[in-house]
Amino acid sequence: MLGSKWPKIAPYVFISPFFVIFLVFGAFPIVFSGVVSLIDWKGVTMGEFVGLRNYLNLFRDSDFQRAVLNTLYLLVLSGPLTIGGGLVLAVLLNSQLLRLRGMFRTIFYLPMAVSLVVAGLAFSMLLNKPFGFVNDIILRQGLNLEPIDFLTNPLAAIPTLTLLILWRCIGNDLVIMLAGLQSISPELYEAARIDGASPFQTFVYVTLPLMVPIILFDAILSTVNTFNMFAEPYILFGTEGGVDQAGLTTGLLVYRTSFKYFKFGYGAAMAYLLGVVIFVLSLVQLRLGQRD
Amino acid sequence: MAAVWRERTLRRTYNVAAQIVIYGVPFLASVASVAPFVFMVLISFQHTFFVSGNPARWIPRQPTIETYLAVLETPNFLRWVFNSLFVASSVTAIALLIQSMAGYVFAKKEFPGRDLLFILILSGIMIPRAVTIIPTFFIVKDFGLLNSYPGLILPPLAVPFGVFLMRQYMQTLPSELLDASRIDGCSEFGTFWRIVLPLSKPGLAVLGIYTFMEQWRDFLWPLIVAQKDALKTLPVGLSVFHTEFRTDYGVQMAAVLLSIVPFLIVFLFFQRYFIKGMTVGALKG
Repeated sequence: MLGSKWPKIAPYVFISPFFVIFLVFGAFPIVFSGVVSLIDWKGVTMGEFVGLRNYLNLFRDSDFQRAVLNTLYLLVLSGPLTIGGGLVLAVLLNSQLLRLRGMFRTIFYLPMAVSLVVAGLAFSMLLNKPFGFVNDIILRQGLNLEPIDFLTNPLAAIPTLTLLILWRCIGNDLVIMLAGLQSISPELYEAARIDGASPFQTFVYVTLPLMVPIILFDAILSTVNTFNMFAEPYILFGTEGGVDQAGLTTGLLVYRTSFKYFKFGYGAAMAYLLGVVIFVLSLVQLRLGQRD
Repeated sequence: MAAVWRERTLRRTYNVAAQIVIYGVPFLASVASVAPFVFMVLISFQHTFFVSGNPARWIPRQPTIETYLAVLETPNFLRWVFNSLFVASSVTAIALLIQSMAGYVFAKKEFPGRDLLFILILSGIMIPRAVTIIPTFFIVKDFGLLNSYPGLILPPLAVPFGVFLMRQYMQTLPSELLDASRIDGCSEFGTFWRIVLPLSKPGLAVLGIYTFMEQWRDFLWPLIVAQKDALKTLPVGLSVFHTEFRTDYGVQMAAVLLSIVPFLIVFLFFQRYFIKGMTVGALKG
């Protein structure tokens, strides 16, 4: 109908429905917050233009440094557990040898559907010291075990947060991986079997290489979510990030700066600087994954 | 003879070990997944929850369904359920179409500006919502979309998560198949609709489940954009229980457990597409 020009403009036609909505409700707010990050905006009245001062102040902000270190620790701890755990569960749930696969999928995904406020409530009740469910069991063993201080011991803050994330998010990692596994052609497995490959060899030499784009996607998603996570640390540790700010993550700090102290400019600068860090991390991950 | 026998025993041992791993790991993991739910169900059947006292009372002494009735009898409850279903389904249906179209082009087409546009999209995932939610509110207000369904539905569609997801899945589709369909005289849209989408069913299922779930449980955006009671979604409507019945954990848990049910139905609908063999090989045969 449009003749020879159609193949050239077709890609733009395909992306335009999404892009129009993205430009208005996605890109504009991002640019707007970039402008706000250059302004000393506190409270209700618009402040003065300060250029990069908000950014420079970040490098001297001990809370910010603390939050970045905590978040990196959280990422190193929870990332491999959710991604690796999701992949292992997906491989098992993709196996014909396992029955009730649909039931297992549903069970693992259900925690995602619970509102975080209530999930947090349930977790604080479960992990409370000394009356929480878990400590109740520990104390009843009669082995003179000490109750575990999940919520107020600074050393336990990030591991406890990891526990909540693992419970809540592994279902999501699982279905992402599962969908990836299902787009691998059965003929490749058949070929590997005929060549006498063991299940482990098949996994390493057939499954893993083909799963690279999906694993990459999940890794980048985990990185972004960990840096921007707000609700999880908030419900466990409050806006201050708990004792000694041990549970203070970057997402929580951005929220606290913007909506508790109403320093919108400083909060936006923080988000932008972190956005750049995440962006670079993601590009590195994409490059590493696509070098072949 | 002995060698054959030994090998048979070895294989049997191997099979038993494999069975233990294949069932054991998912079983243990699902116990951990379900445990907090059991706890929530136990709390939901009692008005006041006694944690103190030795031994602490985990099993309700006088179980009651009043907690569930209190949730169901909230005025406007059905209206909120409808709003949540309508908003979440609309966002999901539109996102599945427009985000998979965009994802397909980024995965399989070469065109000027592609990488730049993709980087722009990626940047939309990086900046946290805490800093973009206020400007988004002002835009929606300027368009006169406060307290309206489009105001609830349009901004979540701008989240580029799905474009990125579909791009990654569609990269795994063999390009030869798409070329073949084009040579067979399929139009650009025909190739997308009849070849690419059917092959992407597992990816689409992930996107569908994720989008619906995000919308179903979202609290912040509906709270800001829909102040009229008749336009509230379920999580916003039910948040009154956090204040009115602040100490009544039972009602809060009942509210959450009830609100999971519709999500469960949607999940079961989408997960039919997680079928092994939904692949290129199956299509050829």
